[in-house]
Amino acid sequence: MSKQLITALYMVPGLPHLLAAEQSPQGEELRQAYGRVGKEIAASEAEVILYFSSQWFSVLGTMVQGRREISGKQVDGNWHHLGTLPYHFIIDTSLAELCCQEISASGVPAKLIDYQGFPVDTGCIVAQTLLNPDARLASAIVSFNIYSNEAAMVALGEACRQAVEQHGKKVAVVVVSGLSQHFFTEPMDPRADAIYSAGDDQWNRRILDLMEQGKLDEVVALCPEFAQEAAADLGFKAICWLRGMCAANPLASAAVYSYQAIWGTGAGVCKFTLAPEAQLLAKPRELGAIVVLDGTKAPAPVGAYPHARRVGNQLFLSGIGPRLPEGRGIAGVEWDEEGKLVAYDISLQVRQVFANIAAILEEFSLGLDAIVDVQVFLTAMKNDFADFNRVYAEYFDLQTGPTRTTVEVGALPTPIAVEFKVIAEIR
Amino acid sequence: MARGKIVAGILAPHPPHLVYAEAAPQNEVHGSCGWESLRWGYAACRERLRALQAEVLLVHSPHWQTIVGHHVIAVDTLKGLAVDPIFPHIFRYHYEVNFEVALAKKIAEEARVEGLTTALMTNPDFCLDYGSVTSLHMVNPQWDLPVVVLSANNSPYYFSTTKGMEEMTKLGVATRRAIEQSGKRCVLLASNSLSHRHFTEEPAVIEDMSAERIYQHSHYQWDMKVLAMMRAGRAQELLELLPHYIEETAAEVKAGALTWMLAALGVPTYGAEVHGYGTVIGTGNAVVGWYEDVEQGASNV
Ligand SMILES: [Fe+2]
Repeated sequence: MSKQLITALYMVPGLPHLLAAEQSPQGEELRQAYGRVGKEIAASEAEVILYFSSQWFSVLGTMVQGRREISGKQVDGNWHHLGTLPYHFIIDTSLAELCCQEISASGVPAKLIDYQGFPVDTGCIVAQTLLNPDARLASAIVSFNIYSNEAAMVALGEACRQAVEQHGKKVAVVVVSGLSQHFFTEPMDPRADAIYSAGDDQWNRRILDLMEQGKLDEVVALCPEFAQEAAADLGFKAICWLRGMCAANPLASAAVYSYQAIWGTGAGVCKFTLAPEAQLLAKPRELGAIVVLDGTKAPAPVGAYPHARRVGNQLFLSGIGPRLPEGRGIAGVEWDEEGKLVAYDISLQVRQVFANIAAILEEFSLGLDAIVDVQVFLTAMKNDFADFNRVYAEYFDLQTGPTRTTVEVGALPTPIAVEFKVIAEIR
Repeated sequence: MARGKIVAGILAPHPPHLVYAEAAPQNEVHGSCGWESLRWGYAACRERLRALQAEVLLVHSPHWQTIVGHHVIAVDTLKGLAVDPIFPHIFRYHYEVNFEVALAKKIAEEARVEGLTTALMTNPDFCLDYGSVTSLHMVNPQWDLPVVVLSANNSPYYFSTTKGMEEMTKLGVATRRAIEQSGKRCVLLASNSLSHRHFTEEPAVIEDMSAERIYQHSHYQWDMKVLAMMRAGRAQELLELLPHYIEETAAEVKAGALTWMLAALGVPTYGAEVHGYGTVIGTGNAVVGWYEDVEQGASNV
């Protein structure tokens, strides 16, 4: 089982208005949310912040900041009246090198850049200033190719995750991106700031809702529409990169800390937490991948074992009985008033075993027909074999069914009368 | 004070490869050769400009994009290092430039009369964009003339090409009026490429010309069509075709510099001189000049 190295992932806005000395109430709320993120990162075990900004694009492949120390001052092209933005980054060059290596291995040429005066994008400067102003934590910064589509962005995120895993240090991931990106094109009083249109506002809320529910795949699928209808920042493709960063892990939680307007655009501060180490799942369908279903789909394991493990094109399932999902007991049993088992229905139990196996196989997009071998354990061969055999024949036949071995055992770990041990083939 | 005038308008694209190949002393990186058709085109253009005794260079560059209005630089001087974020390995240029602030302010004022939103850039830490630096270098490598730098307002991208062109036209008209009041002999630089699809990889030897070609044939055909119109003095027709051309070739002129310049020149009916055409990492680029000596009452303004 791999170690969970990503302490958390954040999405933050990257407009320099947030650094102005005077803040509107809207800006103040965003800054407070930023402050909360900064505190969380500082209190976490993260040693590095990995930045990805919608404002840093490349044309030749992808670039990764490789300069050990980057400092200087920047004036934003549009918002120059807000003043000069000093910046300071210490780059974790070994993570940068690994990012380069993994991105190149994914088929996109990647270059480490190390140039005095290279323009750091405003988004990263804003995030660093608000999250890590004294550069106490090292950083890594990765660009994207301007011609990348959503899938390429996900792949770029996956490559960066591989780099993090190889690096072995705990990392906080910060994606700098706005939501809807219609600006007001006239000078305005920041205190009167609001989202450009009701339509944009609806879009932003829809996207934030989905993010809060952890439905990142739906967000990724909506990117083109979000871009079309609300001019989403960079087509919201930065979120595709974030999706790639956590492709192998289920989200444990997602939260929106703040949603406000900056000069008409949508700005959100959001946090995504991955499942803790103990529940960390490798990506299904990968070599050696395991899967532990959530308890609503199949009964939870009664010990330290997964429901299934894939090796090559074979899928090994742990022994599975007729327990019901969600801890709702055992199928086909009757108890007396003192809680003693008085009777059970072997036919119902066998059917539940099949239902549980089907649920696990479904995680790998497989059906019962993928099963190539079954070992059956019965606690009462003499009484139950005939009924078991009849129900079994409803699922499989002689010509196409798997090989089967049936044995009697003295007992099974819970008061169940039957358990199957199954091997399936991934085609 | 004599009436100021636009003595030339130059389509002056800004691939940093040209500065690299020139081995410009201001650049930290020196190439050995490459892109000669464009570089020699610029040399011919410089020759023409010398005779015109220009006093001010005005540049409109797509790499200074602004959202709230059209901005002009209004500080006396800027000095710094411009590093191209796309091609940092070939372009890290040390510049020092003086600005014609009075004219810059006048343009902003006239643009407001045209109904445009404007702003003055007065932050002394501002870094001049690499597009402006490249065009200015290629036209005047000695940097001995004061300049006016105008931002490219984002309207063509935020709204539409046509809405953007409306704004750039107004900016052009305002620029012309301001120049006339300034008493200066001015050259306009439209810092735009033509077709604008890049290859995303470059050869191991950057100036290896065996790898240099147009991104796709249709882009070349479109570029030729557009250049033919420029040569024939069909600027009005060209402006009408521009949205279609941009759609077909992702042309960088979408950002508005060409529209601004043609409007300032009064939508010329006299032919332009194509000094050179060449591709740079797949994009189409041309150095093209509209000169006062052929104007002679031919302009429709
Ligand atoms: Fe450009």
